[in-house]
Amino acid sequence: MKVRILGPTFFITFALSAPAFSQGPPINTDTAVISGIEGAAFRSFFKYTEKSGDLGGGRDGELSVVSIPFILPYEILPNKLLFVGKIPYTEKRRKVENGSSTERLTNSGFGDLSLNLKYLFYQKDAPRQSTRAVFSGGLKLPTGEDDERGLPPALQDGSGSYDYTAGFIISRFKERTGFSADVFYTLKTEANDFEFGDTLNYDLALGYRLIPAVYETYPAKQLNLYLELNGTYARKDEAGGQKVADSGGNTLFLSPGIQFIPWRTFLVEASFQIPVLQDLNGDQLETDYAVLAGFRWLIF
Amino acid sequence: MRTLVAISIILAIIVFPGAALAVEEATGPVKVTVGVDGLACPFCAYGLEKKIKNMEGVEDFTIFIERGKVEVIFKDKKFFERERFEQAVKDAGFTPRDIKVEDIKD
Repeated sequence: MKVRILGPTFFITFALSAPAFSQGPPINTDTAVISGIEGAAFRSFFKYTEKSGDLGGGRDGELSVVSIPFILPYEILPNKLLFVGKIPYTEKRRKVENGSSTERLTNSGFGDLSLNLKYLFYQKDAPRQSTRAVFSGGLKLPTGEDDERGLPPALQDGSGSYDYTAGFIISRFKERTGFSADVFYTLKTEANDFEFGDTLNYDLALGYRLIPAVYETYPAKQLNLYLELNGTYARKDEAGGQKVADSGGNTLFLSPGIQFIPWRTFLVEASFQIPVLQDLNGDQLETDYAVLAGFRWLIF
Repeated sequence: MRTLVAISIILAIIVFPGAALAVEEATGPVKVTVGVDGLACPFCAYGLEKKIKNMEGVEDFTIFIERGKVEVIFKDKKFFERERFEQAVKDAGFTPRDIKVEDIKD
C-alpha cells in the first residue's frame, strides 16, 4: 500500500479551520451551487491518466486513458432542480510485457450515457456568504459498446450494465474562499457475466480567489486556485459469479488546480492529480498521475 | 365659452388618451437598491443578471459583489413591483433583503 500522508493531513486541517468561501465551482469535486445556469450550460475537458505496475507472474503493464466527457447541465426548476447529462469519449491503450512477448490493446469510442438530477434541499445565505446542500441521484445507461472481441471488460467503451448513483454535496462560500465536499455511492449491476465492483467516491475541495483581491463590481476577470482530495473506494469485481482477486481497492488523489474566468459566461481550468494513497487488492496497475484541462460555458 | 373649453378638453382626451393617462400615472425613473445575501459566487451571478435584464422597464443595473448589493434603474416607477422583484432574485439563487426605492430627479 502506497501512502503519502503529509499532503492530505495538512489539507484537511486547513480546510476544517479556515472560514469558508467564494469563487467558482471546484474542478474535480461537485458543487452544491446549482444557480447561475439559467437554462443550459456545457462543460468538457481533456483528461489524461497514466497507470503502470507489476501484474504478477513476471508481467509488467502500462495503461493510458484519454477521457473527454461532454457534460450538459440544464435547469428544470430555478435554483432548485438541475438535470445533468454526461457522455464520455475515451481512448484506452494497454501494454503488457511478459518476458520477451508484448501484448498491446487499444480501444476508443463513446462510453455510457449518464443522467443525473441534483436537488437543492438546504440553503442559508448571509452577506457575501452562502451554505448549500444538494441531494444527487442518477442512472448510467449501457449505451457504449461493451462486447468488442478480444477486449477485457475494463477496456470496453461501455460496461453493458445499468448502474445507479446517489449522493450528497455540501458547499460553503464566503468572500474569497470556498469549500465543497461530496460523497457518492454507485451500485453496479451485471452484464456479459461480469459485474464491476460498487464504488464509493468521496471528495473535498478548498478554493481561493487569487484575483481580484476585492471583487467590487460584476463582471470582473477572476483567477481561482484549488486544492482537492479526490478518493474512490471500489469493491472487487465479479466474473462468472466469482470475486476477482486482483480488483478493487482504495485510491486517493491530491489535486491542485487553477481556474480562470475571463468573462461572465465562460471559464477555463486545469488540474493535476497525484495519488497519495493507493491500497489496491492483489496485482493491479497503479495510477502514476492524471492531468485535466477544460472549459465551462453558460449557453443561455 | 365654458362649453367650448369643456368640449375641447373632452376631444383632447378622446384624441390623445395616452397623454391623459401619462399626466395621471407617470412618476419618473427610480433607483431600486436591494441587499442580496448569498452573492458569493461571481460566476453564479450570471443568472441574476439575466433575471434583471428580463424585467420590463429596466434601464440599467449594477451588481456589487463586495457590498452584496444590486442597484437597478427602472425607466418609470410603474415598472417596479416589489414581489416580482424579490421573486426574481430568489429564482436567481439568492436571498433579497432591504429593498430601497429612490426617485431619480432629472
